[in-house]
Amino acid sequence: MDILDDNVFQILCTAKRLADNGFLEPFLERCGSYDLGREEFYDFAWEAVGCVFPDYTGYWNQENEIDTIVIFDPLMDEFCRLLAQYETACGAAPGESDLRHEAVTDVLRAFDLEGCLDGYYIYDYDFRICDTGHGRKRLVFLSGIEFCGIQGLPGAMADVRCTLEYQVRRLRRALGMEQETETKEAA
Amino acid sequence: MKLDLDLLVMRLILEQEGTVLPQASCNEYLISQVLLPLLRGEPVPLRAIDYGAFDEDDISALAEYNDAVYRIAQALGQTAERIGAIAPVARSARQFC
Repeated sequence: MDILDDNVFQILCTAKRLADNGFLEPFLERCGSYDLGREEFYDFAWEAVGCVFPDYTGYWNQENEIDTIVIFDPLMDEFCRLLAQYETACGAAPGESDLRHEAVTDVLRAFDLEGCLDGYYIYDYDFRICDTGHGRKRLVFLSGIEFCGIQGLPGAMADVRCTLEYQVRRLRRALGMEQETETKEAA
Repeated sequence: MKLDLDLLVMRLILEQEGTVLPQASCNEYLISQVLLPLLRGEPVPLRAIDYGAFDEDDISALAEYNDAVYRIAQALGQTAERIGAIAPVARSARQFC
């Protein structure tokens, strides 16, 4: 009799977490045909990240053995646009408002994988939201060897997205846009 | 006389004091729809799972149950090997069943 290996439980945990966070539909669309008993978690995890942020790119630097995940998403663009709009509206210096500081801290906190690691794994992340005038806004997640083998990674990505969505709603309310939308819907 | 050695070994082990099959204290849905089919080698596509039928904590309980079942299966297998290794001895007198 064969024992079921850890892959099964890691995949099941990740699938459950994504389903509970509102990503069931994209998850099933992308990974629904995967066989729980035959899938490797590492490969699955890349797909699971894609369920949360479809427009992401993964890079593998062979020389340094570093994985890098770069996430582009319309949600990021909206978040940055609303932040800039808010700072203009309240007369704060660009990039200097308290709300920006709170929002960015909140998103970075969602990246935290400390609870999922053995304590020795080294990884880093960066949140490029300053408008440099070049290219799109992006989330950059620098990591180490076999980074996607860490069970908490797809769930952390889901937390990042949920936090971004929450902050966008918060900014829209602060700018009075939520109320406008509600009024339009009522009309 | 036919003797089902596998059954005999299982019965012997279950008769030993303190050796019982673990009671499944985890989610019934996970056992019937996930664990048992996988142990039988059947495919379990991710879209066939009802994610509302269990909690995240149930998954760790399922992993522990899987370990417990495996330990029992290992013990059964080792005992079967030991019995299988015993050389047969011919009876000295003729006997009819």
